[in-house]
Amino acid sequence: MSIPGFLAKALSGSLIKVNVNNSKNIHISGNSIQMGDSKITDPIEVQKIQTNIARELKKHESSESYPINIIHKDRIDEFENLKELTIKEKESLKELKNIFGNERIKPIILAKSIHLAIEKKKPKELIAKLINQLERDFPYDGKKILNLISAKYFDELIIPMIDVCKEQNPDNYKEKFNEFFDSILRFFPTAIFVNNETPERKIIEEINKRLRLRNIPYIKIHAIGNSNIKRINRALKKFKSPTKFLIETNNFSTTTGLHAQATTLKIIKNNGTNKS
Amino acid sequence: METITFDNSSKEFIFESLGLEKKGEILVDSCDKIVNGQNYEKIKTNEFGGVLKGSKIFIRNNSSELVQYFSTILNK
Repeated sequence: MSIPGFLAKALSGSLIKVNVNNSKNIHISGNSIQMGDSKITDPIEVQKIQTNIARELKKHESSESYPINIIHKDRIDEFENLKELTIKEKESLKELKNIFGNERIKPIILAKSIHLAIEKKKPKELIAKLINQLERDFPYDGKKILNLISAKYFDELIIPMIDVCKEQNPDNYKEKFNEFFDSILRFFPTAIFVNNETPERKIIEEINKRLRLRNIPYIKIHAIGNSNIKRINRALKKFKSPTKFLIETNNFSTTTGLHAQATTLKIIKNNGTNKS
Repeated sequence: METITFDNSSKEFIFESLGLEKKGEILVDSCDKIVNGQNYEKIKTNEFGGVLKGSKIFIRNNSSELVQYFSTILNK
């Protein structure tokens, strides 16, 4: 049954007039009912509609499914956000689930839904709630995955490696790709993500770790927020290395209006040319 | 959106409409079966977050349950 059909039955016998075709959601509170833009507070009408809703739901008590979702209001924004993501990226998420398995796909789904919420400028409270959940449920790799997705490394650099793994290891490409992804989560050779908990000393340490790698073409340092950006700039001023590099900075605003910076250290080869 | 939302003040109404009964901390259906979540763990009355389309999937009131639900239905 559609929501307009459900609503029409819920309103039967009530004096309330609601355009059922424009109302796709019903919120039931203790003493009121919201249907689309209409809030019904008259106790008699609320009682009538509640009786109708209860009757309609009870019809499905012994069936396999209810015709609609019934969700606590605290979860509805997250539900809608996840629904939007899984509709938009269904095929790619299905492939990722096939590779990563039932458990490992979860932080990816949650991180992607946070990225979508940020892109769509959803309320800050929702984004904060989702980030807290990500950190709580996936303390080791949740935030790392979100960083990779936000900086577009996930879709542009990591996902294309699935095809490379398939080509090189057709029989066990899933295992190989999981190994590759694990290694990226442990250490991303060309990128550093700086947050509020990354001190200057750590930034320098991370740059040094990467500069020790042979043939690394560049290191990109990502930061959002003025204090993080200033900390990178201070660290780079103090940084001394026998390896020569050029520094390029790209300043921009995030979709939520925060100042962001991507600082690229382009490594100069011994013959003076840029490696990238 | 195809959803009924409720809050703590209307939880009892939802339990009644879904034919659920509180037995101490737990919820049972009209056949006296314990209401459980996606991992077959019982859902306490204070944890109840709703029921989703599909095969009457009962969830707790937290985001992890939603992530699990959307992960499960990817293959459907």
